[in-house]
Amino acid sequence: MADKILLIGGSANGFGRETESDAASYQMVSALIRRGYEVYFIDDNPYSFTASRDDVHVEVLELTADNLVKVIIANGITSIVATVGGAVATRLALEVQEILGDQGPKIVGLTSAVLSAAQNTKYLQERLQQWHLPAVKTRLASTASEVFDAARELEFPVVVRSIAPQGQALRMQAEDAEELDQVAELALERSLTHQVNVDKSIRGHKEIAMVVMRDLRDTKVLIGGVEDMDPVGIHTADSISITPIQTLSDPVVQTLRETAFKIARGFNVHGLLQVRFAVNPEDDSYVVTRIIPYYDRKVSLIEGATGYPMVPVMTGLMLDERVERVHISSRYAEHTAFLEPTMDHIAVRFPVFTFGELELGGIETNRRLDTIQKSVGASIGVGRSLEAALEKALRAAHFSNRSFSPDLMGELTDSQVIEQLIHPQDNRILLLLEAIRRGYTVDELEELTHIDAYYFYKLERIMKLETEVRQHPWDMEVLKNAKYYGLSDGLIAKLWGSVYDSVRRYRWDNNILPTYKTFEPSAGEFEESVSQFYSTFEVENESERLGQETILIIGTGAFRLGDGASASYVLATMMDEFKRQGYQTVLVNNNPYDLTFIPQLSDKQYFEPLEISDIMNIIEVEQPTRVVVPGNRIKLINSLKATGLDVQVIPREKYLESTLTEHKDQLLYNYFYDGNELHPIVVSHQTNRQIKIEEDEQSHLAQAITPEMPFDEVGLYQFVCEAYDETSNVMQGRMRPMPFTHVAFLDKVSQHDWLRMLVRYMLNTPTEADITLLESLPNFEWAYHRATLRYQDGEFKEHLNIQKTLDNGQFAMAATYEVE
Amino acid sequence: MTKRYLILEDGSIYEGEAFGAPATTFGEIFFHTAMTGYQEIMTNPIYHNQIVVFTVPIIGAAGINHRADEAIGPMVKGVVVREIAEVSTNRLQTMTVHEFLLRHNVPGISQIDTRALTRHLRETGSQKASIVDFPDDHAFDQLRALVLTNQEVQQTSTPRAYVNPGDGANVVVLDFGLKNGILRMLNDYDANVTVLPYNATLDEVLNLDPDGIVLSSGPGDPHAVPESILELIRTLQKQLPLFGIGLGHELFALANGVDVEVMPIEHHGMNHPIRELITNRIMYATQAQGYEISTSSIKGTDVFVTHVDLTDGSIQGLRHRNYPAFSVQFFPDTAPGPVEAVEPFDDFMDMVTVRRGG
Repeated sequence: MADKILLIGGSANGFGRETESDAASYQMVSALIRRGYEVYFIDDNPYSFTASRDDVHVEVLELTADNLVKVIIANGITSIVATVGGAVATRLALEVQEILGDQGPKIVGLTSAVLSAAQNTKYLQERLQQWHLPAVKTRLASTASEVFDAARELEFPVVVRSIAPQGQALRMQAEDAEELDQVAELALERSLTHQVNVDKSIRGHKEIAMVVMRDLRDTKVLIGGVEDMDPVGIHTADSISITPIQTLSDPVVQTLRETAFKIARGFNVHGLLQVRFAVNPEDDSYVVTRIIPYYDRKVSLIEGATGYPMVPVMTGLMLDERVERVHISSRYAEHTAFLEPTMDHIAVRFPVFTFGELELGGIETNRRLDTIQKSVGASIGVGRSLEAALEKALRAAHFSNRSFSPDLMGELTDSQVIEQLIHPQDNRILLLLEAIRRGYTVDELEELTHIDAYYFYKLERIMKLETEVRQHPWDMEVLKNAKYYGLSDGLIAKLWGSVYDSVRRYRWDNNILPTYKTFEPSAGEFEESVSQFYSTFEVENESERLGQETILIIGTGAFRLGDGASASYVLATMMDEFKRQGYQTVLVNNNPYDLTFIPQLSDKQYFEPLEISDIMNIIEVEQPTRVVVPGNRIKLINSLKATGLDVQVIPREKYLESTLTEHKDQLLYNYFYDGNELHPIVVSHQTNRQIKIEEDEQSHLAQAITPEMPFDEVGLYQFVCEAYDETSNVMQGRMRPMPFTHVAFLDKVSQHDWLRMLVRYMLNTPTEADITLLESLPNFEWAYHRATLRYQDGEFKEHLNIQKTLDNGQFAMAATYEVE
Repeated sequence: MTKRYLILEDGSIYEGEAFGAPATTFGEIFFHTAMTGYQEIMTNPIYHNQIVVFTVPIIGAAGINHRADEAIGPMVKGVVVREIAEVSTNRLQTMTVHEFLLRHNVPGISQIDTRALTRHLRETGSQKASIVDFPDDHAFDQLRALVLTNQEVQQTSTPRAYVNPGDGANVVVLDFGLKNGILRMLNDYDANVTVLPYNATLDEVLNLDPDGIVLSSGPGDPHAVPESILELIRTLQKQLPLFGIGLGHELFALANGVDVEVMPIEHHGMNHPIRELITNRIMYATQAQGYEISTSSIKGTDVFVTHVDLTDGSIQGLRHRNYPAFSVQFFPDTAPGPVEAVEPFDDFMDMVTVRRGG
């Protein structure tokens, strides 16, 4: 009988977790099934792509230790995987182990020591001291007065952190007793054990992460390092991150690498370990700040940036395979698993903030960045220079071209500039540029911001480049240089007082064309046929047209507030179905954590911004027969259609109307539109807290008169019913594309793949079963009596300090669901 | 911004921008895949007379600091890179890479599609190259007419003996193009080191009453080193602990009747896994090699294989069956590179200690 292994999911997405762990667990399931395991998966996240696999036993249960124990006992589970469900899964694994003891299943790859050290800094510190490795000075406290004692002993500033926190771990900095007074109680309350760690602050130091692999024979491989541009004091997720490491010399890098190895060995980790460091730029001394034994966003970033097969390798190693024998896909060269990746390009990760959107929604925010995460998503930019990578990441984060224009920040007074340099806000990259423009010296800026001067020189260079472009309209050499350093056609057009299309044509006429380079982990030393590409403007192009019948899929980019994770689920599912239908698929996207980047889902992937010019460049190479675009990209859709391309739009509303803040139950009629006719699927209800589907209520659906259909595209639609006339069965309200949140939920709880069916209708190749199903609607066998999706917006309060009720239909990033 | 060109013997032309010295340069071209340690690489005597291509897209952010020198000044004839950092912000730096190369009259060229160049060199293997002002016929004629010297060791070895004093064991280093990292490592053991020129005689070595011998790394073809050195190695290995690194490893092999041949694809980087056969331990180390031990020629000799590179099976270490003598192809001195590969120094110093004790 096959061994039964349980993957612990991560529950709702949120500030700590986008879709990276879902992408990892999806791939891990494949790797486990390949090895003959019977795989169980527990999660209550309605957007889980892994849970939509039909080769896994899915348990839709709240993520609690009790529920895990029940599943383990009921199914005879022998092993647990806790590395692909974020911090939640590692905490639960430890709790399960405490309950079941030696009788319980084995937690593969992880010792209880490493699980404890990941959650408890004090314990980590003790172990580090044992191994003569430098740790942050920490004191444990369980009352407010103990917190104050610790702060006095360590001297301000200090950072307070909850032990075993509910939700994401928060670091709260206190500069003085007054600030400590504000955070001490809050931090204690957030701890499940009512304990906190008080750390000596290392604010201003460089934040570095190292990701390593280790196997049972103690072979250790460094997969990559990430340097944050912003110093410790700004949450790493809010920082601009760069890989490979830019400003540390070889001896320092080697010391950190060796330290990460010692820790992996000390904790006897089999598989993946991430170690975070703070390096003091004054003397290159360092401390270990955290260890993270699971797949998180940093790991995902390194996987994307290096092309290293992270999940296949970590899966093998946690099952006690050796790194030189572990199975990886035949796409990679034989030795890829044990060659330390080396990069010949630079990747920049840029955080996405949405204070602006919240403010448009009438919600007050504080834009100042600190040790609590404020960003809701991120984009990646890749280039052969830091300038290009930064420019591309910025564009991908949907900053408009105005981002780098001089007029935007011009209104700030000098004292406001200084204030914001010291206390940075979400738009600090613009502020840094403005400060350079106003003549602050690099030394002054470094002093005020603790950002390495190196980056100011790079920003200075970007500004010089812009000036040069402006001063030399239609100069070929200048244009070439500008393209290489990542300036978009749109920005150049603006600087030349022209339009994007003219610049583009001029570029084309003069043969200044993008060259695509592969991401592969040997920097050109070995021949590898990897399918990931980024653009630059150099000599050699490595990307050839994939084939005659390809579909280009435009991703949804960085997560913002709202439906990021469900959009990722929708696109990933549809991509997979296009492949199943026999098409070759090409993806362009730039959210490094997105599900769509799962290698099996497409034949070729481009890490590029999603502006029209970037997409047109790819279309010129790939000449796809069809382009699939999310429906909110209206300008893009029109441009693509204008060029005569076959454009397939996935219906999606740009903005959902904000109607949910009142205590009101919205009645929703959900339809499948096959291009001719609306087919009623289900009636659902939505309030500001939840979406609900009741089996009992569905009989109602047959009587309702199908409303007018104002849209043309095949798709899933939703009628928001404002009034229902019981006698005539006529509804008043309006039709809209079904929000992705509802689509994902519907797919899950109906146990039918509506999205896959949608793809077949898009391709005009429905199956007999599809046709029969549509004809039989609204009669449908519901597997459950009741299904409920609950919005999780609790984190907004902590992260963005929002007290007001949010419109969850518009803003909620996270949800859980349950079925009865 | 001055335009310059990198030209290859096979006729390839790459346009770029000048940095460092404005001189015309010639040398054998190779690519290095390390992401850090550019200064150590540029100053390693093993790269004497060569032109280095860095695959990492930007170098220079940490500037130049003398602690990272592996020799006095750069040893390479030219530097090829995608981007050169105009300024560096490292607190230890005393000058930029540009200033350093300018001072030592070494040209550099940036804005090159180094990935395309690397993929090209991967196919063609090493060849002669030149950095020039104009890629005209004259430049190619000069390049093709160039005969590379086979006197690399003679040119890089110290002309006279010197002492690097310490309170510990007496170690003699034979300098075939010694890099500072080896001396730094021996310093860590407090060894009293005497560095002798490559052509030292047996008497000159033994007069120093050594407790152990190190055959240093160095540039070029091991076959170009005078035959007398092989005889010296054969004599010394019988009497004293002996440790060869890089070129020293290749000479140790030749001295023991093992063949050394040109590698089809050279190793220049720090990311290859190297397996120590006796322990099965896998480590990473800096490699800089254009020659390798011929695997088929080991049989019937008095040496056996201790380390192999897992990417291509190439031999990375040898040990003598009868004497405390061994050698490694990779660089165990961590300058630059991983620190887990230093064990050969431990092994050697253990042998030295045993000998002193007995």
